[in-house]
Amino acid sequence: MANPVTAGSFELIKSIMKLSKQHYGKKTVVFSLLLLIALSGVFLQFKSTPLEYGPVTGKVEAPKEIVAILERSCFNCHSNENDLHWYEKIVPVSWLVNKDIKRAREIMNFSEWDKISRAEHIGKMWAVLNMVKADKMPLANYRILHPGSKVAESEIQTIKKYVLEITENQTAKPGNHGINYHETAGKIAASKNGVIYTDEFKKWKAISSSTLYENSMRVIYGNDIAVKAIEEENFHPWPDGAVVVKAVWEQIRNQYGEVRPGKFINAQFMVKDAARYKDTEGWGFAKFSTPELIPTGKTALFAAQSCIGCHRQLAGETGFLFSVPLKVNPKN
Amino acid sequence: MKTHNILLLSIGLLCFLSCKRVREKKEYTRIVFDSDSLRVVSSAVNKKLETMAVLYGNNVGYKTLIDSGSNHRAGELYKFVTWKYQDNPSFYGSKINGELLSVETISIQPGQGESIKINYRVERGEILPVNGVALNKQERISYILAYKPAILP
Repeated sequence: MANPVTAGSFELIKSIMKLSKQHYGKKTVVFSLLLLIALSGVFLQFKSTPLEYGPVTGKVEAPKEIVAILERSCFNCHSNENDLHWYEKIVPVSWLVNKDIKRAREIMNFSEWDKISRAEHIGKMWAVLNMVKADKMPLANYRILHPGSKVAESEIQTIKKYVLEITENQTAKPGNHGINYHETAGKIAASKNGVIYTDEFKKWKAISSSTLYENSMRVIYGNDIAVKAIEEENFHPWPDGAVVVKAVWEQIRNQYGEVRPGKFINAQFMVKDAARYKDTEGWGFAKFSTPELIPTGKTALFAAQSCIGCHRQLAGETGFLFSVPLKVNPKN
Repeated sequence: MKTHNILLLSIGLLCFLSCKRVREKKEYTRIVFDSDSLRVVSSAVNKKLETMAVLYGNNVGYKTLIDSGSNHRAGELYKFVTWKYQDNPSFYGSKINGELLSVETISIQPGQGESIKINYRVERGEILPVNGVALNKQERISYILAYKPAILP
């Protein structure tokens, strides 16, 4: 059924066109309309805000072959050194391009590499590897206009080799764990975006366990709503109220040659509240580090500027969660 | 002879179709292990066997493992669950538990007088060796009860 407002507007335009044609003739009307569009276009070029080029405070440091790949395939969005086509600077294309660049810089900026820690550099490089490996980056629509930006298979292997080299603590150190054990119940911490740390998760079911980069190990807990959503494959979208907590430890090797959890690193929360966390696909992210539970993020925008980038591109299939148990066990 | 050939062909076709149907019928699911009221005590990763394990315990068991790990008492209950791990398909560089391999249960009951009785049962699957050595029942109990709870704030 047609929208009555749209239908009304359409009728009004038709009536004006009809009247104009009667008075001035068809050619004059078409010419006037084109002129109006062109003038509006020129006017908008002056009114629109051009892309801001911030300073290069610290360029990504990596072997030159890695920097060359990043410069060719990533820098146009993920840096302050953007080399845009002329048409990308013209309204309305520039609106879309500028919006994408702003978001890309928030997630990863190779011109401001000095603003993040060594551990974050490594994490970001793993994200680069995963994005290009899964063919998610550069974005498909970007590649149409920039065909040379695609990362070749040989280049993916080069990135992979580099990422493995820079990842520290590949082998778990021997040691004891659980020594000086203390558990303080009822610790309180809050993330800037309103996600509150709760130690209730210690009683929840473990939905999965995992390792990352061979140097940390994790147990992922889910509350009842999250467990039910997994069992019913209710991921699109996850129900409000679902909470998933990932506890992360260092790896410690024991006398059996196994790896067990050592020092506590952090607890990562994902809280589903579609109305509250619209910028991050309905998920409120939080990371509470060290036993003091120091929350990540200087402002409430931290998750939109970091976490969601990978979750959105790589874990869309499971509703933006990486740690959903795999569908590999035979039924019954 | 002709009838014989047709009969053989029909049987072959039937076998082929039914095998195909059986294959198609095999469905897979995502398992969240039902630990009931037990809580996670700790976990382990065995890179040689490519397995991950999670030890669950009830409150009595959890407290015992924190306190000493040796003065066991009646009422302790544990479940030791082992999974095969594999690459996380969503993120290269991460491994995640996959196929469920085994479930073992340890429960401690009062024995005669002041003694305790430790029951051990394999509920599901086969138990893999530890460090290349197949453990007997007593060794397996000692191995599981030697776990210390993972440190949490």
